[in-house]
Amino acid sequence: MAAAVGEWEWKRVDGDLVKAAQEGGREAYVDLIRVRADHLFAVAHRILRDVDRAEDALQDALIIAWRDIKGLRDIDRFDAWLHRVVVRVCLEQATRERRRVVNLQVLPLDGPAGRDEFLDVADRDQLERGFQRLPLQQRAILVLHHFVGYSPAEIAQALGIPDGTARSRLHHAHRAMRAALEADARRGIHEGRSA
Amino acid sequence: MTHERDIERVLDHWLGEGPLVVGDHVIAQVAQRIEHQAQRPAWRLGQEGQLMTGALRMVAAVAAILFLAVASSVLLSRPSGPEPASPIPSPVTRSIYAANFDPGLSLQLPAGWVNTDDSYFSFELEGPSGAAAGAITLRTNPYLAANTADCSSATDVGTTEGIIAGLTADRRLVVSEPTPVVVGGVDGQMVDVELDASWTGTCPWSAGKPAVLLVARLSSPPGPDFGIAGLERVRLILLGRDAGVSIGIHAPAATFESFLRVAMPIVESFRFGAPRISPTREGP
Repeated sequence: MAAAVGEWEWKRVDGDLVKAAQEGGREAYVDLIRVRADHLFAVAHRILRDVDRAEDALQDALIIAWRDIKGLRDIDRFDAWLHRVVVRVCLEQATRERRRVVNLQVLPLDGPAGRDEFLDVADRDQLERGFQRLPLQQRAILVLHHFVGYSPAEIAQALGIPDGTARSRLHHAHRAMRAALEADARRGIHEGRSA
Repeated sequence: MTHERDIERVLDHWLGEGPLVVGDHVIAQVAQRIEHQAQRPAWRLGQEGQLMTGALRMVAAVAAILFLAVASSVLLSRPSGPEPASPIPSPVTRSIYAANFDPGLSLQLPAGWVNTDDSYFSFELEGPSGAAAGAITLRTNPYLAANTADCSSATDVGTTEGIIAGLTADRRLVVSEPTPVVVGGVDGQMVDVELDASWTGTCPWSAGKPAVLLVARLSSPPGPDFGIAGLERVRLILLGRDAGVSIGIHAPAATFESFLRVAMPIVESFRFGAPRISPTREGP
């Protein structure tokens, strides 16, 4: 895997801030999340594919993390734990949303970062369609691996699943993505769309 | 596209695209919201504040199946004779496990009952005759609802004692004396609630019937948890000193008592997944 674009620079956890937040320090908690918010928002956005929903999910996740931070025993795992809360809330919110709105909005990818000639417009459209066909769990695994830069072992830690399960799910997610893209390409040929 | 290119390389590039910066308002709103959000004590949270892992669930599942098998064999080996009346209409029960509900939950469910919701924040069971005839609803981190026209807001009262005091003082409601209860090893309080006959105010969700929102969420996301409408009764059980989990048993007033005889054994079978959800860890 190439160096992940979303790999964050705050991997070294400020233990004093986490401890202060666990003791009820709201300012300490806000300091902790302020430096992580952009990255966590990017993770939520890549799972949910919608800016507003990603912001809502992040906000809820950060409230839950505040509520539950006393339960974090290993301060060094703060970031893995925080990722897990964000991913869970994304899955939760998307599931709720899906009950009300079956068709998710497909947004144009007009973000400022990472754009190059590696992918053309047709590729991006195809990827968007393929990605949105994946179950949310598979989307989350792919985002944690390809955007956050987590290894399968780190995914396992972040999602609270066995190592082997994380590897297996990642493998299946890749396979599902490939199948979704191939199905989309076949559909494009039938519809006269260039793929 | 993917025939030639490696899918992993494509995903590395593509997922790197898109917005990378969140609006300042998000952190500002979080800072504002946590002013009203209490932290949960560590004893009420699972390891790292999370759910049971799949492996733990599997162990719990096997343990529950073994328990049922042993219990069944003991019952079958009893000498025949008149059986005492059972509150459960069918002897057939099954173990089910909350895949998502935090802090994890396992329970015994009689035949005909279904699990209709299982999320990080909520868990619901419906009886054989559907939700209108009776349901059991669990929520995490409830707060006393505010008396507002939209029937969806919470106050900042989040303790068991405070919620029950607030409900008891609410003249729109008739609330029984609180009764101590233990569910899944966790101490709590239980009250039965119905609308005062003189109350006629409605809520947007009550289809024109008189209604009162009982508990609501301050966050995650904010909004109504559950209320009472029309000729309905609710048994509300709040667990933990700071009401970590609320259990609502809803049924029409006319069949409430008979529904309780079925629903309470289900509630009594609850086992919470987090091993440290123990009253012995609760401070004075």
